Amino acid sequence: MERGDVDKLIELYAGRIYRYSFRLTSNESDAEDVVQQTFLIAHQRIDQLRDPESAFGWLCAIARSCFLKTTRRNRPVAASTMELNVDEVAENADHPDWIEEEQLGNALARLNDEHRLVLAMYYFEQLSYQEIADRLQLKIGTVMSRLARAKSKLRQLLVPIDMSESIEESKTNQ
Amino acid sequence: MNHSQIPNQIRELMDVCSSQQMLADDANMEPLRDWMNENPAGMDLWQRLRDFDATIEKTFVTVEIPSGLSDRIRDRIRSATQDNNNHDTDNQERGKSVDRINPAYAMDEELDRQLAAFELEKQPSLISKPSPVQQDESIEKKVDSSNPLVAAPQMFSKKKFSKKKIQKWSIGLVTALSLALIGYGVMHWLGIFDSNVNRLADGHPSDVEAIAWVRNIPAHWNRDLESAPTTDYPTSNDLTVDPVAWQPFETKYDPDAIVYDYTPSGQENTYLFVLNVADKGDLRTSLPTSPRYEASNYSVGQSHDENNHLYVLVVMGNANTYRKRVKPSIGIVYNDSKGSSWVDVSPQMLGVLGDIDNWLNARHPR
Repeated sequence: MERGDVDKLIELYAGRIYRYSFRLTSNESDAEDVVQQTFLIAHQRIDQLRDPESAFGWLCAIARSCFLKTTRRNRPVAASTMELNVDEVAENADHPDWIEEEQLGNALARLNDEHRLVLAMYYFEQLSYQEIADRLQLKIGTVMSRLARAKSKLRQLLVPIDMSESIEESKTNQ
Repeated sequence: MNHSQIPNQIRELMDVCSSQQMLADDANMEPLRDWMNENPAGMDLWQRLRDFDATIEKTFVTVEIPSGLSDRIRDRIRSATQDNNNHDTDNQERGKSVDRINPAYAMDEELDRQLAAFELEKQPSLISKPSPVQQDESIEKKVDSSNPLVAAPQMFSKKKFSKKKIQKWSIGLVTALSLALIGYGVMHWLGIFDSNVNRLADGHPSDVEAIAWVRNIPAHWNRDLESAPTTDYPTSNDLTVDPVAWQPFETKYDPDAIVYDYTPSGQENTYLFVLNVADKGDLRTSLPTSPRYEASNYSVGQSHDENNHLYVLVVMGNANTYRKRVKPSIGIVYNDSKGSSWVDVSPQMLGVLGDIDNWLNARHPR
């Protein structure tokens, strides 16, 4: 592809890359910065993109890199986002009927960067566990474990009800 | 059962086991299968976790895009390019070596690592095949590396520009050009370029990801419904509207798939995609009365029948518009509040929905 094609990429993917960046950064201005940086780099490296069908994944990879750079440069790790001890997590909120997207969005924003990244790669980029492991240079087991912890943390942030209630409730219904 | 009685491993497996197929087939899920055999209530919990997955997924794609985003990106690229050009000119005027790398473009390890997967995925290219000269260079390097005194890489080598090599290059170049011209002539004669390259050159919608889709979407809708190749007529019983036309919806998942236009006169566009795919997840045989997914400008519901037909109803508009198109279920009682349990994250189902999204985006750009 050539530099002129970047305009097409912007037309097609700016919105989707913004969504991805917003969920990664949890902040409108940071998200826009990541998006602009992404397309700036895409403009410079467009000749490396040989297969147009992989354009979206390629842009996501650049956005991810921009996000990671920003994160490492700017963000101290807040106490509230420290690694989660799974044993202390109250499992819950597995029933989404009442969960507002805004509420879930806020909960996502409160996760640490590591957890948000793996969730974004899984749910937004639709990458498999193996693909995430390859991209982040992690073992597949680590990816699975990180994803499980991220979801567990999300549930904890959404509602403090013990998962056992869900199970007991299911038993009663049967 | 107390929460603490569920082993950590099982809790993690429940979260990562994303589909029925994975649950049934994946060797890594064996402990989870065993645990569920002993704890039947676990299946319900597992299903509800999948509902949670669907909600997270939906949250990721429902982010409002700030207006003027594309323009600001273009402005920034223009501005960066301008800065770069000015920088070049200044340096040239000063007679200094030119640093062409804008800090924003700086190569770094992180970026290279993230893009490494795409490097590996690249198709083998004739361009990247080593030329005779490159092969010669590698031989030179091999020889050089054996001598510690000349092991350092040489940026310029007189050998590289010897007459013999220039001659080799020229012959290679002429041969390659001749072959390319002959190849182009043959392909042009066969009409291979007609629908691909020319459409893009004509300014056809430039969806890079969906180029194949754009070029395959016929403009013409066939109003002769009887001529539609699907003999099992779509689930009209589920809908409050009637089909008015159809056209092929060619996809790699089903090259013979079709899409029906159900748009009532003067109202929101309504389409029913009919594909033959075996992957039915836990879809029901009637279209859901509420959409299972809402994108920024359309709503979707799916059903599947025993003949492996997948029906995807797409209504341009929100959930209320969707509901107006679907008749309330009669005689079928199920808890629609757990509707998102339809979500099957198998690659095939996601691929189908992705193709439909491309098709819709080409017709109704967001």
